[in-house]
Amino acid sequence: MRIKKLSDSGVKLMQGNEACAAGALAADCRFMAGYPITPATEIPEYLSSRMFAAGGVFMQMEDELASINAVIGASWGGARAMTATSGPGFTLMQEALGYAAVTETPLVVINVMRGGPATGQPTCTSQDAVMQARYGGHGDYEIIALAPSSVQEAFDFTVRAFNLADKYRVPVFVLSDETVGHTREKLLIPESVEIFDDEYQGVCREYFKPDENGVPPRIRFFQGHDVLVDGQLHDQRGIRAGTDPAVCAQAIRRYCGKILDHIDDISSVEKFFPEDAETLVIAYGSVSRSALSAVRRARDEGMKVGMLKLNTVWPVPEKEIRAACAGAKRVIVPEMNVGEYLREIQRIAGCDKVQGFSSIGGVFPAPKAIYEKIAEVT
Amino acid sequence: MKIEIDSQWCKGCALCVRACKKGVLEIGGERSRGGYLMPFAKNPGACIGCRMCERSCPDVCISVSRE
Amino acid sequence: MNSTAEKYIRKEALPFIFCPGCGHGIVVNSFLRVIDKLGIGKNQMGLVSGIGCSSWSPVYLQFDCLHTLHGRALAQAEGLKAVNPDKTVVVFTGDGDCAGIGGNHLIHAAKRNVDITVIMMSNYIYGMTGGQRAPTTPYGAITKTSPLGNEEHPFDLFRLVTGAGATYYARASATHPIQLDKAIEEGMKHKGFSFIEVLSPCPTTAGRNIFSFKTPSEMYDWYESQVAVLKPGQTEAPDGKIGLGILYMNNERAELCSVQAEKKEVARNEN
Repeated sequence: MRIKKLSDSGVKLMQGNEACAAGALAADCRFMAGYPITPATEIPEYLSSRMFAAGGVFMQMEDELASINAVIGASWGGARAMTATSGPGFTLMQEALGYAAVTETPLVVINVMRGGPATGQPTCTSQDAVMQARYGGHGDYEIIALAPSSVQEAFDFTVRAFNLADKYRVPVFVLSDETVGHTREKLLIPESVEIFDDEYQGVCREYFKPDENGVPPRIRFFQGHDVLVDGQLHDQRGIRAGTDPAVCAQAIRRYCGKILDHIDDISSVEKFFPEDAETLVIAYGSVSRSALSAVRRARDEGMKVGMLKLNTVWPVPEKEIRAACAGAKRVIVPEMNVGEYLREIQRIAGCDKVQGFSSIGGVFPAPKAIYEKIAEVT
Repeated sequence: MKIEIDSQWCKGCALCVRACKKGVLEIGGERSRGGYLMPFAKNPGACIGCRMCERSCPDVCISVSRE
Repeated sequence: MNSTAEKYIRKEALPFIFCPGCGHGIVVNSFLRVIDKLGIGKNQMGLVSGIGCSSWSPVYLQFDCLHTLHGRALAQAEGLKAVNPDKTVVVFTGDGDCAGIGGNHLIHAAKRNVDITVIMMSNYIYGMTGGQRAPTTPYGAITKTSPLGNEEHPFDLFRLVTGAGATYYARASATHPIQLDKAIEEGMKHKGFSFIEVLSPCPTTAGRNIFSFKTPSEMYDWYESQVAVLKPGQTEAPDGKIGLGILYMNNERAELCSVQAEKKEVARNEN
């Protein structure tokens, strides 16, 4: 890790989408390709001039297919690269995200979630792409997803997303949503940020040979490696091996293992009132702010309520969820979908104990609504 | 002229035989590693070194050089 | 292996996936001669391809290579080029990959006039999947998915690609390797979006299975009878034949990477 001083540090008033974009620039992202889509459009708008000023390139592509593929090309070209999108755009990107996973291409996608399916609710908030982020493409692979709940986290998590992408050579998603994206509030841009900058020394001929952590080195084009990148399953030299069961099975296990074996390093959660919680609320993204407000009110009224806030949703922070649920009699999972991540919590803590609190149709769950749910079950 | 045909990669397509306007090459009885009947220089004295056989080889396995 | 190939082939990736007599190998052969002549060094060139037989071409070359998804070669090439404007980027693609599933990227890359050389190997069918109709398949032609004769007309790629904004268009044929070298060489020297359409016979799924040619040579003879080398300034061959040569070159239209470099300067000065 290298420490990078930021010239624009200090307190700002900024929108979540702008904070993602500012975080990307702070993290040395030097290529963005995107296609306008509500509610993510402020991100390409913000970067359309600033990326050039930073010495990078912004490209508005013909569609989301082109956007994500251009990002893959730029990433191998040596740049930290990203795109930003929402609902239908994220759906279009899934094939290339699978490609990025098997070619172990570091990149960042900001998904400012809106209501679906299809065109759905373009201007309304949602968390209905949580499962899609994990299972969107065909094939078995793991990705990393962070869920910011505020403008500050939009900035901070985006910086971290780039570091995780390079460290694990994997696509990383920032699962923002319309609420976070369009909230304008205080942002403290720090004095400096950490940048993961491990460079491979010498000439690499085994581009997909894992180190002791299961991760191949972060190599780039034009450095003498003659890298061979192939979407067909391949051996460590990048040579196609689609008909070799042993090589393919090993490769798939490694794509999953390099993430799942490092859940502790990747995971980030925050615990609130863990000491005596009989009712536990588990939330992520914008909903976690509403949930925390509801939990505080319930505690003020004497209810034994706690909360677990998930800053990373993929890979599942299983250990923390299990520990937090162990002492609780009941668990509530408020989400802006019909109950997607709920299934993960139920898998870990059991269906008897865990219930969802679903808010759909583009309605952000107010603290009062979550409070009433807590009061009802406690 | 010396015409070398790489028996490791030749697929016996005979496009080199077709490309040669001087009738230097012909498919013979020898097989390449892949099991294809390979061309050979039956009439090397007629070769003018135009390299059309080399250029027309889809498996880049023909070399024409001066002896 | 010929001496030029010896210098550039990624030996562990051999043998070529191509069937005996496949035109794509002749294109690779020609490409190697051109880069050797132009002296394009290691670390100076990135190769990008899509999916299909022709898209395997760069995989066998000892250069940085992105073998991408079906249709997406141009999009990845544009990202690669954008952050490495001083490097040469070449796209190897087929008619289905480029003009079918990748058609939208094709017209937009041409519109941008980004400095990428595209070598599109056209065999008028989907070869890898066994000979189905492609966007280039002639009207009325029999394929595995047009057994009654192609109901659709093929793209006029010359008009499509130059109309979209490409600044170099050449047509070549695997039956004419000297003209093929020339088409690739001039395309690589040209700064802007260079498109080289190469007639590349598919002797197996098209030749043997559809047209009943017994040997690759028979098919190449037929191809040769259908083409004519154009005279300078001509864009169409007489007698309804397919014209080979450099059909279009334009050095006036601004190239994308140069414009992006100017924008960087402007933006830096404004900040």
